Amino acid sequence: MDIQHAPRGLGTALAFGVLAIVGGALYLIAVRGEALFVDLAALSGMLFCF
Amino acid sequence: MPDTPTASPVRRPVWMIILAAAAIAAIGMGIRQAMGLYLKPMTETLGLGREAFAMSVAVANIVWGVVAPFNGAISDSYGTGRVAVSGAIAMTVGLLVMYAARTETDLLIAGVLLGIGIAGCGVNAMVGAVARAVSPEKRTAAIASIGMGSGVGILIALPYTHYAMSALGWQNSLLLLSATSALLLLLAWPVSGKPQVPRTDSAPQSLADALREASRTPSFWLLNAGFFVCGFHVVFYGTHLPAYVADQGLAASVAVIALTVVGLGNLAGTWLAGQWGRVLPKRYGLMLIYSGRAVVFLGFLFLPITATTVVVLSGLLGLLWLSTVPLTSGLVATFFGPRWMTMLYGIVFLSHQVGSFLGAWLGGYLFDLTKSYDAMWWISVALGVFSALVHWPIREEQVVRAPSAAPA
Repeated sequence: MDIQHAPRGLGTALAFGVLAIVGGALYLIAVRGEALFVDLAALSGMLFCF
Repeated sequence: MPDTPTASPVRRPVWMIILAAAAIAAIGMGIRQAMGLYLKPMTETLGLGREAFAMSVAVANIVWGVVAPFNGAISDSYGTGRVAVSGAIAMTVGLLVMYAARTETDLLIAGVLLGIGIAGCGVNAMVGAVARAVSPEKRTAAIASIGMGSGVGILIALPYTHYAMSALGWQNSLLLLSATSALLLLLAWPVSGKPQVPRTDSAPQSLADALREASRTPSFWLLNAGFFVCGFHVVFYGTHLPAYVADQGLAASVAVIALTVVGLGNLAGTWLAGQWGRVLPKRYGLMLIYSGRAVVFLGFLFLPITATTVVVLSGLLGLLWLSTVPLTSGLVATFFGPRWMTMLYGIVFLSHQVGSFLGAWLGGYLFDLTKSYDAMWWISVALGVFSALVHWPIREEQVVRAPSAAPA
């Protein structure tokens, strides 16, 4: 048994899975990015600047 | 025999160990990244001060840095599985405390638990498990895989959590995050198992001996100084970019695109750093990264600031973002071997967290003082040059130990 490398099918499936998840995240950023940014921006000003 | 003990007495496939470590880092770092989204709903719904939430997040970051070396010692002595399990439990419970929070004390308790959680399930907790599983020449590339997992987690956590919050409500979304962090318990199995001490000509090294050896190794201190700068740069940029973009009169979407480009560039940069470490001296890679950052920060001072320049400079910075992790942790393993690597890298990481705190705090302080980020850009340039220079004299070789009088 090759313990160094993942089975070929698993590697391919994993690559597609990660690409789909990242693609979904990029889609969400494209359609909801500004709302997300507004919610995050409140924190960045407050986090360490008490 | 190379200085590579097996990851555990029960030899598991290397790819499984790397995959599990990368998945743990993705979930752990992603959940940590998403916490910022809860400031607004939690403070508004519970009527708590924003300072309390900000303090909770700051406490989580400090606890993360302080706990990392201790977790590292446990990981190196008893296996990474124990650290991952304790981290997963702390994170799951911490998220449930956030879900049920009513007072500022509840938020602080959640911050402490989340800090312990990320210390057990972040990149720094996983480096030892992976470093012990692979041969020295593949070590940096393998650690880069954890960094890429972490990069994916950071990139996807914010949009998905934001979506979950609007679909389920912020409280129920915390239950979803808590259930996700509970998955870490399953992922801990492949990285578990007590590390075997390698058979070498040297006497087995105790924890105290390892600390003494590291404290007497100038290259280790130079590495600490360099990684301090890494924390300073990335947290200053990540925290203050939105304010900087608004200050320049650019649309909010520019900051969103810029931070996304940083995340995508980070994936490519981390992979490239892993490949660099396989064939080229790691310290030269770090010198290149820190010099490159200094050049990028000069761009913010001397280029006309438009949406295009901000996005392009962010993309370049993304390539130089967490690409420091595989090279820095790889150097720790080069100096001292993998025996106490997680603990020693935890010390280097503590230096990173101190830099992170200063980067975020000083950015706000100097902006309030001067109404400009120029001073911070200049400090970032100077620190980039400083960090590049401190890596130059690093001796990229294993520390010589006295041979044992009576080898086992």
